Amino acid sequence: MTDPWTPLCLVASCDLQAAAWPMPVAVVEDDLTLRLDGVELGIDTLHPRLVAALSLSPKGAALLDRLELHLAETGRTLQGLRRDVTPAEAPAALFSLMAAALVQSQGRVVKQMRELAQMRQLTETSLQHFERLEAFVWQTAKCERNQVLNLAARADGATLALSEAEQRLPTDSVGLSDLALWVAAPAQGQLTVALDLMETAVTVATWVVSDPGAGWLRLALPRALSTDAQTPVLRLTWSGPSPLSLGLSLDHPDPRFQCQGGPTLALKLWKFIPGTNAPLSPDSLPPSAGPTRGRWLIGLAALGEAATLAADPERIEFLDWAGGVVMRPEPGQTLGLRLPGLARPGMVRLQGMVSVEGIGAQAELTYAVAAPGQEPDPQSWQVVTPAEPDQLHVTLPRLEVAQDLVLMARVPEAAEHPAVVVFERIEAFASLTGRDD
Amino acid sequence: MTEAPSIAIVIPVFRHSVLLIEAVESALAQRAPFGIRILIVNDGCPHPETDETCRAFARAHPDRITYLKKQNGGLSSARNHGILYALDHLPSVRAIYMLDADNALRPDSMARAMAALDEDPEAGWIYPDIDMVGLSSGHDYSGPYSVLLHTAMNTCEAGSLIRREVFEAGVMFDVTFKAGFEDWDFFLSCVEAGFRGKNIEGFGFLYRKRPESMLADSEREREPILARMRAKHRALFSPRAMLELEQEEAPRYAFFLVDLDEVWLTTDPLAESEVLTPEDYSQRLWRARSAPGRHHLPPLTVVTRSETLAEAQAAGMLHGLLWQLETMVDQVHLAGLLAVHAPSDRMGLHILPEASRSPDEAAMLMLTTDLFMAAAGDAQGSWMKSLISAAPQPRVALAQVTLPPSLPIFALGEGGMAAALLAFLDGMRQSHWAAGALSLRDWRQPDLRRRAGSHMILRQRLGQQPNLPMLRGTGRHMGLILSILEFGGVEKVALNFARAFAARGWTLHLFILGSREAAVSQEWRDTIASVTFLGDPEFSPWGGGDRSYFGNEIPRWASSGNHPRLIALLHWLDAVVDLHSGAAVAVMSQLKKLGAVTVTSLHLADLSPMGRPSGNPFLTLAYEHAFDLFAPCSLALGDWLHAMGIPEDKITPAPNAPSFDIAPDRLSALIAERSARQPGRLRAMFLGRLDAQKGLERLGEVIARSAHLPIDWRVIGRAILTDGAPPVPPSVLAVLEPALTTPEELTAAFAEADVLVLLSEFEGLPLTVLEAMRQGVVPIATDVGAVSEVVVDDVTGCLLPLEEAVEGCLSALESLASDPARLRRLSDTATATMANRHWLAATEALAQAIDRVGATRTVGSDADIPPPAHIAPLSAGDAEMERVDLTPAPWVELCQNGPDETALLQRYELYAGFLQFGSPENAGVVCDLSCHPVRSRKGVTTRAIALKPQGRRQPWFTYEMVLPDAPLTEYISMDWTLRYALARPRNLYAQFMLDGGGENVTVDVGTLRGTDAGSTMNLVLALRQIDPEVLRRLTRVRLVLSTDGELLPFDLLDFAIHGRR
Repeated sequence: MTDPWTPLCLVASCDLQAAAWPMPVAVVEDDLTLRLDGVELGIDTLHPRLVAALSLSPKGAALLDRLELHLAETGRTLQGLRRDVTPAEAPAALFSLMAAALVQSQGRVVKQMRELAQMRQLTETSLQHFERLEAFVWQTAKCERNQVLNLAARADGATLALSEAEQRLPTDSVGLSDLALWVAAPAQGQLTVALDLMETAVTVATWVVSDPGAGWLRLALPRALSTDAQTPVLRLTWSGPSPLSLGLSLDHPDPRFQCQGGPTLALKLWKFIPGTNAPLSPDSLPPSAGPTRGRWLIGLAALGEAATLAADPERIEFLDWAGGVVMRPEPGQTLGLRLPGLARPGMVRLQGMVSVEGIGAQAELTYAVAAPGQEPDPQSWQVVTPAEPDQLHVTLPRLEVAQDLVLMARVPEAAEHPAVVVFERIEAFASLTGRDD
Repeated sequence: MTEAPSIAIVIPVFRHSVLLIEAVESALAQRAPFGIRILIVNDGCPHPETDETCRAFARAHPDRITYLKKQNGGLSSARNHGILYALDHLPSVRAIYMLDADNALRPDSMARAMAALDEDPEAGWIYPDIDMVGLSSGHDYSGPYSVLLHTAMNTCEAGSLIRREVFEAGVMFDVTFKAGFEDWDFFLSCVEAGFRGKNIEGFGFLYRKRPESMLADSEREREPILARMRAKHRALFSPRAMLELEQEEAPRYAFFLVDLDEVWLTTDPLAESEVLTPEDYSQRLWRARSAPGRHHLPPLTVVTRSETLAEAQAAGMLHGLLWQLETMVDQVHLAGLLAVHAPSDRMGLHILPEASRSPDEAAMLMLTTDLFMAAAGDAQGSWMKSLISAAPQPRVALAQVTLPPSLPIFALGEGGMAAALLAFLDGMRQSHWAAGALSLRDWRQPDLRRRAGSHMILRQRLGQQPNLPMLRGTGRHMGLILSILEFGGVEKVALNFARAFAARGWTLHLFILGSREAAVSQEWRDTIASVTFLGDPEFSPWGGGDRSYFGNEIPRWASSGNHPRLIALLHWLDAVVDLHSGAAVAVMSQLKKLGAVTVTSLHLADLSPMGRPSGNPFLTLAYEHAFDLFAPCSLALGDWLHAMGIPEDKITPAPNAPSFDIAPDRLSALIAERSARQPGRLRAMFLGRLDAQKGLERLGEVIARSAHLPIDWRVIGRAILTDGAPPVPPSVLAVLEPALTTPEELTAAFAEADVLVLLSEFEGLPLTVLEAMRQGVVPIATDVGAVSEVVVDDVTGCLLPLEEAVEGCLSALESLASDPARLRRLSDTATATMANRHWLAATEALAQAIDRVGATRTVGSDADIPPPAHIAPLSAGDAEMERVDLTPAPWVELCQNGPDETALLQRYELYAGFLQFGSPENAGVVCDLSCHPVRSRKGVTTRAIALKPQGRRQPWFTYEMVLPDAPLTEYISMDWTLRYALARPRNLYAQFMLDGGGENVTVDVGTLRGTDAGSTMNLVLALRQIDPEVLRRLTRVRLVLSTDGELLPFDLLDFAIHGRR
């Protein structure tokens, strides 16, 4: 917002009564004092507001000449504003100067509008290109958020009994996308986590978590924070009948990184391309406010973690070089890898790259969901051969509650060879089109 | 109407007509519970767009933005313009923020900074971390504000919120700093005015960083600008002040005291230290590791016992030993110290061959904290653990102190220091703080890394050499410089100097330069506070020189020795007395510039093997400029010095007196005993060194030929058995007795003698003669040196021409042996002559002279300012050039018009077309201009112009002398002879500014030092160094002289200009 601007005409005091003035008039006295409505004003205040300086008499002209000389000391001028006229010519002169000022101003406005239009076109083009770039990155790199910090909980099990606490994060804000806290024991109550940026005093996200369970509580930002480097700070508030126990990590000698004067909280942090959308990990919670994104990515980290818990490590394992989970079903055998809780409410479609290795091998693959403790009941199987990598698509009835996601592979009884099956990252969508609803 | 502003944001703009918008918008967007006025200062920007933009903002926000326009004067000038506007027109403003037009602020910056100022009344300004945009990066400037650090680097960004009181105290930006670092200079001025800065995290300052900027330019010009700042802020850059700052802000050592289980953080272990437990220290250590720019940690770690520190101090060696260890640590990983007893009353310091002793035998170990920290971060630590093995992997150098038997040697206690160091390290390694510090760091780069090497700041000031870690306190300190300390006459004089000045309240310090051992007797130890060995293997008082001054050798060390090391050892002293230390004369000039009064105590000239006079008096002639005072031991030597060219004012004789005291009642008793003695055989004595100088052959002949006389001979002394020394004559050997050293033995020997025979080849004013006469022993001596000042023939003794010494001596002996009345008469006169001859009286004039010189001595120095190229002497060819007087005629007329001529000189208004005068521009100061007679010290009276500023006092002024329409291409140079007639010494910064035809050329001359009324300074503007194409377009020359903050009620100046073509 700008304040209204009142244009002024400057006249010598001796000329003030010589004409009727259709606009506010500032007066210059014989001693070069400047007044507006009888109040003395400094030249620094007055000069920017002038649109005209009229003299109606030789004495007035001489006074304005003196004022010009005085102004020249500081590089100011009345050039372009000055008219020596008769009282009768004053209104016309004034309007002429006003018109000139208007023309000049109009010219400047038009010029700036053109510049704005150019900037707008550039911005629109950039946005379109950026969107395409984002889509390309999404399709090729799968956009898994990158873990940058892992401060494990202390071996001695020390915890913070939370009511209120603040924790400065040991990183800058650029690209920050997820953070996780270690909840030592499930608790009844409500945890509020706010992520603030110190320099701008802005809260960029708030998560409200009811009755948190034990383990890592991952909180995600749909869009990674921008390139404006600031210092992120977590503010934690707990309300519940008994304190929430949060895992603690290292003692840090610098009080800035201590939580409540004690050790740093056990933390994990993830980053992504600054300022861009990234699919959520299904084990993360989006902020409580703001639009919900309908895309998830079950990344290599989640696949690897699940594989380590597999009951049959001889047949199911995670291999870096393969870029995913490898299963080795024998003819007539069905193998499944359970990813607890990763089928999130709202998911309706899953897709991911799969492949089968082995001469003469053939396998049937699918993704299934199951409630914890229940066996999955796959709706369909897709046959995959070693000919080329394939993309596995599975449509689900819209999930209302979180369930386990199960990756399944089987080899027909009649097959002559076992198969080596690779499940890569899995994308999940809340719509059939894969776009945000 | 908005509320009265509490903050003014000054935005100078020059050529940033577009980027300015972001700066102003960010200022307008401030969220603060108080009013903010934005002052945009258009510094004569040539772009019309700038004016339009500024006016548009001022019109749009008349209650929030004031648009100020001025003629171009540079960034400092523009800032000052805004500041003065705020001071004069905005009384509610409590602080002013400097925002450059290409930078910006986050919305809460001012609210946070103001809150910080309000919270901390001691903070004069709040400075930010710097978050750069463009070339983006974050820079951490957090941690306590340090003046010491600020002398070494520009720690405070101009974008700081500065309390109004700072400007009201007269601190402004220096308009002559046009190549950058004006903010650095400004904040140092704030410090000198008593203000201190404070950093706040998350200030919200955004700095537009481009690959090339004014800052980059100033980095290229860093050294000359720094030299200017050192000259301008000499009190801050004085090494003495820096050492005190080091103790206060960044102590050099962490002493782990094994016996107390404490860690002391200090530079001077005798000063008040911060004391920590090892556990608390571990947090400090790891905190500093985590954020080295934010947290200070002493850069050197010492492991020892408190008893060792106490014992080293009792020996007067504590600071010197630490200094020595610090030197050694520069070369090796660890330096250690152990001590042994000397067989006699001697002290010494020797460097042991590497690996000759185990590090665990050391009583003190020193290593850099960097190495200590690296070892603490090494989980295995096997490299350091090998210290206590048979083959230590770290390189360790050990120094061995020799102490007199009466002093305790450093106790080791249980376990050696290497084991203690390892235990200390283990404690740090196992600290629960370690893992966190190694894992987590702040995201901003620690720009104040130099905090971790704070001791290097002072080293940098002193030629990269370690600095003696001794705080001066409030007393006066005098250093006595000796090449060796044994039992010679010079050493006796030194001891008596020390006693005499100690009696006057001085603290005395002894420095041995040429030897690693010295006879520091109990008498010495009772008198001095410290003894330090230079330990420079290259130092030799004489020899090796390849240059001579009128035939007298300049020793090699004086030409090419490690002078900074000795300067670093001595710079902090109030007075330095050089006692025949030869080559050390080379550092006296620097010491003088660093604030010490330099004195040379001279005793006698030596003779070369061929008989040519030489030695210290001749060497000092070559270094006359380096000494404030010459203290000859006799009037005769004083006359000689004057005759050889030493100004009379510098010569203050300190005539020798007996070297040891005898209690008055004891002396009276001895004289009474002599008077009561019955006549008998004459008891003749020689006492002294048995060498050629003492006329040993003559003595032998006299003893042999006097056998028929009733004389009992005693010859007391030590034969000098060196190659080339003459053999001791048999007649002497027959009566030779061992040398005597104690006052009691000497007193007894003189009490027994009737006459003292001294037939020397050359002498100064021998102490033996004075001591003998005091007890009534009649001297029979050759007339050499200054002997005749006390031995008057047939009045106080027998004075013999050198050529007739033997015959004369025999004759005198025969006369005195046969004439007891004559013997008695001479004895009585000798005693009476010596009645009031003592060292306190002998040094009184010298003490007064030292006080007089010391009172005028400034602590700081501009010694390291590189000599400006523009005032280099012209070549001989140039001297032949035609000289044309270019002094403006109005100036000449004004000076000739006499004392009644007065005029009013308006601020920044050319007077008579050649002179303009300013205080911070537009501050409303005008001057009365009048003509005054000026009388120089030589009594010559001339006229000069007096400028008396009216109105409020300002911290600085500039004078500009203008030559308009100067036909520059006609000349190859211009000589400006400037006579700045001063009430007291002060500095001027001089710049030539040439302009015309769209070109600007600035030639920095540098700092000029005006000393006495009527003293002249010659400035040469070398026009041929300017590109001829540029020179062709230049039409105007201005000499701009800026004062440096010491306002005087009267400033007088005069000048003449000559062109050479």
